[in-house]
Amino acid sequence: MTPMPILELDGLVKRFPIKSRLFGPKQWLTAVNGVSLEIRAGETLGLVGESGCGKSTVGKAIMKLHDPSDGRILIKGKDIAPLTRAGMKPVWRKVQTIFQDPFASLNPRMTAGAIVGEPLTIHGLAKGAEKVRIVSDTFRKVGLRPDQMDRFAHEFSGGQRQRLSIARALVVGPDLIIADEPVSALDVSIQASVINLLIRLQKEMGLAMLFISHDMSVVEHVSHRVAVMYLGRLVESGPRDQIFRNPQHPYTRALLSAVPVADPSRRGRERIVLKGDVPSPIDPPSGCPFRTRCPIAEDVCASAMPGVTALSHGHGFACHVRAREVVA
Amino acid sequence: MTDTILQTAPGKTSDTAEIVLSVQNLSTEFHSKKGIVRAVDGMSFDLRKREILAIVGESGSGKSVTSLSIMGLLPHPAGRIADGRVLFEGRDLGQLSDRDMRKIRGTGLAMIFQEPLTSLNPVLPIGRQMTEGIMQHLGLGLAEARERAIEMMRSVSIPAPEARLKDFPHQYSGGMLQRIMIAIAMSCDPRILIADEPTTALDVTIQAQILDLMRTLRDRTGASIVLITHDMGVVAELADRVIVMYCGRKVEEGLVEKVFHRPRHPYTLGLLGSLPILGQAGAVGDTELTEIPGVVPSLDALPPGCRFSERCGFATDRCRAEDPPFEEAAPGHFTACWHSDQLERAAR
Ligand SMILES: Nc1ncnc2c1ncn2[C@@H]1O[C@H](COP(=O)(O)OP(=O)(O)O)[C@@H](O)[C@H]1O
Ligand SMILES: Nc1ncnc2c1ncn2[C@@H]1O[C@H](COP(=O)(O)OP(=O)(O)O)[C@@H](O)[C@H]1O
Ligand code: SF4
Ligand code: SF4
Ligand SMILES: [Mg+2]
Ligand SMILES: [Mg+2]
Repeated sequence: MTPMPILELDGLVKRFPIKSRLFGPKQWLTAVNGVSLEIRAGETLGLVGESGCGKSTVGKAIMKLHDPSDGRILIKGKDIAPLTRAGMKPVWRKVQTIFQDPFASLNPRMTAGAIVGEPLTIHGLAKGAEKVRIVSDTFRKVGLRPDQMDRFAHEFSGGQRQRLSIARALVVGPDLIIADEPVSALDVSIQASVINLLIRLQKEMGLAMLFISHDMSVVEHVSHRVAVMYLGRLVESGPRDQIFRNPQHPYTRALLSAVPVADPSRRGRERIVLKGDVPSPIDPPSGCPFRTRCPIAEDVCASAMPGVTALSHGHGFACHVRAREVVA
Repeated sequence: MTDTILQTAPGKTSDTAEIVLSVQNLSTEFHSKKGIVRAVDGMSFDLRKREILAIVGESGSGKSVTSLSIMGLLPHPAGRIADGRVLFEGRDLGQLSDRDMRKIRGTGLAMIFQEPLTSLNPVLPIGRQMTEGIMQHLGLGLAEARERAIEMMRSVSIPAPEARLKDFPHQYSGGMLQRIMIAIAMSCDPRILIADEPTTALDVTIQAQILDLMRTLRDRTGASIVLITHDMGVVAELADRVIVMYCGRKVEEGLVEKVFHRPRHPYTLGLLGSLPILGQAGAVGDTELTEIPGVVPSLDALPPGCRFSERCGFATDRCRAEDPPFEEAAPGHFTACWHSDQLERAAR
């Protein structure tokens, strides 16, 4: 029996109003356009796509930093839309975030111990000696030394600061971690240790994790399942090996073939180099969002939005042409 | 022998091709309140015609300072070349007048900067900035220069370039400015292109376009390229030869195939092991990435002996006392490590 999903998004839409010319028509930017996905305990879902495709907006909507324009967000089966700030508090305890920039996201005037301990106070979970004990345990868990608790954030290196953000996220015992580009700001030699740590903790603690990244190689390494976004929509999702070894959507294929691979013997491989740029989410193309860059687009792609074609193992994609080819 | 190399990588330079740029024992220092730091220390390399040479290393290793030193664009007066020289087609760039140096920048030596805004004029429309250089360096008239500018903008995927020539830098997104810079640098068919992290800020599908463009520039015009990057993937895709830098020095140098297949410096080995490689992932959590312990030391607190010794799994007492020389460990493959013979390609 599969456990209940920790997180369910059902047709999530987020539109932002855009300042336009005086007296002009009001304009909207659709950052997220009907995203549905699920994450279960013990599972990492990698959310990939190029910058601006809406990944962070999905993460922020789950944290209720944005109100969704449409669709539902369920955390352990409970719709968070009607919840007030006070009603969200227990949810926030169960859902914790790790952001990209470990420099910006930590208060420079607080000691490392206070930073990691703060969520315990906010949620009224522990104080005094009990709190110190939990914080030092958490320090050890993320590979920091408890004697570093009195230092300030700026005394830590980039990789150590990201460990601090991880400790702060874990200290309250969450069910779901939203990690938004958690290693993108780090040098490669430091990235490795943070990735190893996240994978180990996710496994040991049975966490559900939404791992947001633009880096396909990192996503392949950490994720059990993967969802690929383009211009606010999911174009393909499924088990990791299906997405990486048997991709169906032309965008997934192009994205994979564009990744520079640190192996010169694979240099001669066939690759799809896309033309042009991602269109603006203020004025997206009609029909399929990918059609302006798609190497196999047909007339139908301009008139109708492709529906989802479901394959086995929860692998699905949205493409008119590929749907026909798969059936044939 | 050269034939087989040409077969595996079309357009590759041979090691007898003419040397177009020679950096000889370059050292660059910065003066600050805290004293003098030597950001680049005894850097040497030759760049041959048609060659793509990558310089790779983590942030702070001295890659940008190397390129700014070559271009004569170090921040004044904080930075200065303390030693060494740079020969461009045999001419010592340090001896040239500002006027001659300006002439060389453009069709001789062009550079793509990591920060696009630093080299664009904020109060001039992009079109003017592109056509001026093209007219000056290629001797074209305005109409032809405009055509060329539009063609170059199209080649870096700027939509509707005709309409955008009149726009100012601030009207473009960061990613677009980076591509405009690339278009400007390549528009005069430079003989040498120095590209400092040209694609670091760009998405992979755009990065693939730009790498393609650089490869085409080399194949079409025979240009040579110094490609500066922190991304081993980009090195493996594009470069013929690679130099690995650490704390202002070369630690390894050789043909890309050789260095990736059999790295001879522990730092290179660590960098390669720290990367997940697309298509090689096992079950999640089954394989750990290689961690390089510690952090890059600050230039004013370098350890004695080998600069990598505090982070190196192969370090011995000798490493902590004596600086390893940069020597040929195999034909054409150089490294600065006392124990390079002990390195085996880590099984991946
Ligand atoms: N608060 C906001 N107001 C207006 N537009 C926004 C806001 N946040 C994000 N956007 C826009 O929404 C789109 C998606 O952004 P984001 O979710 O940050 O993308 P990603 O994380 O994939 O790079 C972008 O076009 C971005 O400019
Ligand atoms: N303007 C400057 N003033 C003082 N020091 C500098 C300056 N620019 C660079 N440096 C020093 O040079 C070192 C190398 O910098 P840089 O070449 O930019 O590294 P990379 O490009 O490899 O990331 C830096 O760690 C810093 O110590
Ligand atoms: S629906 Fe059409 S445009 Fe969209 S991905 Fe498929 S073939 Fe390409
Ligand atoms: S010289 Fe010694 S410390 Fe330096 S890289 Fe080689 S083995 Fe490591
Ligand atoms: Mg984002
Ligand atoms: Mg740099």
